[in-house]
Amino acid sequence: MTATLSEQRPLLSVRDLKKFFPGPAGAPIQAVAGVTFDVQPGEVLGIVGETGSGKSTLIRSMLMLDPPTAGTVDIDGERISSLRGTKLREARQNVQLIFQDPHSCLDGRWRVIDSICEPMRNAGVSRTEARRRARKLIERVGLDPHTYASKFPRELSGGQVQRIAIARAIATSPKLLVCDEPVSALDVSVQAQIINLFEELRRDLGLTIVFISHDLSVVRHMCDRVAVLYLGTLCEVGPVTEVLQQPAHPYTQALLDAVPGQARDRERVVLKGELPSPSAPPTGCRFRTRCPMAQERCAVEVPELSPTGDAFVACHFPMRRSA
Amino acid sequence: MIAETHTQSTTAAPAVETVVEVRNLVVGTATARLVDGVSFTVPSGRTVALVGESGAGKSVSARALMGLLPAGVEVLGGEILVNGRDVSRFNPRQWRSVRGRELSMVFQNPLRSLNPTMRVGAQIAEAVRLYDPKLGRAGERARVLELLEQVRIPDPERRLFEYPHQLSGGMRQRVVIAIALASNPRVLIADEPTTALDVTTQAQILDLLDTLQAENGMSIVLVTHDIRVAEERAHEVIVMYSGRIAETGRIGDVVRSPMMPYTRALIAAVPSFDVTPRSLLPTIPGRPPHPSQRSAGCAFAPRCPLAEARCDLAIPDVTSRPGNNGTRQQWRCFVTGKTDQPGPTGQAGASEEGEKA
Ligand SMILES: Nc1ncnc2c1ncn2[C@@H]1O[C@H](COP(=O)(O)OP(=O)(O)OP(=O)(O)O)[C@@H](O)[C@H]1O
Ligand code: SF4
Ligand code: SF4
Ligand SMILES: [Mg+2]
Repeated sequence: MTATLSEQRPLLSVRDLKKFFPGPAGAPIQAVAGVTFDVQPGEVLGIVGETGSGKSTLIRSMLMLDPPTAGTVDIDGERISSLRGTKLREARQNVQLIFQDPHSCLDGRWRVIDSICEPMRNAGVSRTEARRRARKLIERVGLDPHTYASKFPRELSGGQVQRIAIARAIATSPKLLVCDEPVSALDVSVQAQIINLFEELRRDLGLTIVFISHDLSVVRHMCDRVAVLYLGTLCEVGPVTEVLQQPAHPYTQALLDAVPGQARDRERVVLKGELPSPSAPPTGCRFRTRCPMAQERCAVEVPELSPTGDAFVACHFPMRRSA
Repeated sequence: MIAETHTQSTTAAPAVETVVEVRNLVVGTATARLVDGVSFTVPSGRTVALVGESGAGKSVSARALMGLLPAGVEVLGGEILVNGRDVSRFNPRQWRSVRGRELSMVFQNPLRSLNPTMRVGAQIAEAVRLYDPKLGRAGERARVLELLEQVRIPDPERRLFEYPHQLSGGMRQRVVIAIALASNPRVLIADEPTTALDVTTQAQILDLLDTLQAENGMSIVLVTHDIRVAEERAHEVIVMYSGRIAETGRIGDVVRSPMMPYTRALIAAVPSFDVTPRSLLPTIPGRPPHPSQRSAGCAFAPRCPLAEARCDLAIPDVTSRPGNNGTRQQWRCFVTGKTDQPGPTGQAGASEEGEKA
């Protein structure tokens, strides 16, 4: 459980991950079409992309909730993509998930303290010890255990339920926390409270987090690195300070330009058309049908992720970053 | 734009025609005032954003403007003047003569506003027929195509025959907007029109609303929880808190130098690109009071960092200062109205005669 993690070995290592679903007329839906990235211990990686870009599918197949079509996933040196059954269940205890709708992590018929205890009980913690820790955890996520321990989820506000879901997720000290849009459904003031809670937990517990969001401001604020997903492939991955400050991929630029309220000193990059179907992705660069910079080469040659500065970019004609 | 209409609305402001004027509107149920004394105007050809968190009364206000309040919720006081006529106590039949012709509404979830079993063209045609029954088949079809072009739907001839589920979220919202435009309304009320959409699609839909306004001069009431959207798209803003107006004014004035402590806190809570990454965001402790549990004083008092004893006792009067372009920035606060107290965001409010246009 408490193996020390070397600085070099990534905590999460995803290689050429693919997830295809059976599609119309025999053409598979390529929801995730070859994704590669690492997450270092203690790091927070943001994954951004539009609806249907494959964010949720990527997470589900990465965690073997819906096994991938191809590719490998290592968590803390263990190849979880080759595990099955009990072995897989054991390995998955190192990972906890948090969703946009926190109710989906909690059983509405259970008092919140019992929901928090459950993963600890599964990990062999005694009942009294689990309850003692659960009360501490409720306090840790900013709620008063006297008031909240015996409440049911429906008696709490959205922000409070999300706090309880977080308490449950960190109860077993998971090596990796995976969050799918955990603050998207919250009001701004509550969102700020939860963002701060994540930051505090990170500082105190050194959590490693994969954080999915469509809100680039939130990702820029919370994450160390960011991966930009488009139609099941990565466009750009690298430090937030680089990728979201001076994007090299036109899609990243378009996403950034769409963030409301950003002061602009130039024309926005506006996307043409619509997201193509993942069962008939464009040849060459998957982004080319909407890319304002597309050229002939983009239709014939798939751009590979290649180093640009401290980041990796999949584009034949990346935008230059000023040094 | 807040209350006190008798004194402030006429001074200095350049001659912009008012299409809708809401005076001291109270909307509620048997037990709670969901909207509690709200006054504002919608100038012709402008976008007014209604901003606030869930439960602040944005949607109830917007629905009151359309006569579309949910069952059990009623206008309890005040007036809604549409082109000078008070529509607030209209019966359903009277509403039908106003709704659509003067005002149209677009809702958050485009799937729910569309009939899933009906082709897109037929749904728009239905709206066209409602406002122009004498058009005839060919005229109707031409008008439907015109509307689809107006909302920039590519390949409109083909789209006519598609069902809502065959369209992307953005295209569906365009169809909903086309239906709302069928009657050539003077005011379009858009309640969170882009909340269910991606940022890139959101930008496209908001661009479309801007373009439509530039083309036909309609006013837009944009309901949003995201003050950044308001900042980018609205001319004026109404910040609501617990059923009341916290602050109004020209959007640039309010966002740059918010005066009411709630507005300041709301702006500071957004993790914008100007904030140091990983820094703790300023937060507002607690939650807004339920409308049935507001005190007799300022509704923000239990959470306000500047609250004083008097804040619990009475609702503060409106304080105002001149904004840019002859507008006024107005807010209700005992403390920031009188002095130059810095708010939780750190910026000191300007003095009462503040930044001149
Ligand atoms: N079980 C499934 N069967 C068939 N297609 C699927 C299935 N799950 C996902 N897809 C498709 O895979 C693509 C990626 O979907 P996914 O849900 O991963 O996107 P996402 O990035 O999480 O989007 P959102 O932001 O809307 O949550 C979409 O085209 C989706 O329709
Ligand atoms: S490879 Fe070509 S189409 Fe793809 S993002 Fe780069 S310029 Fe655009
Ligand atoms: S009136 Fe008092 S409680 Fe209300 S915002 Fe002003 S200082 Fe705060
Ligand atoms: Mg998803």
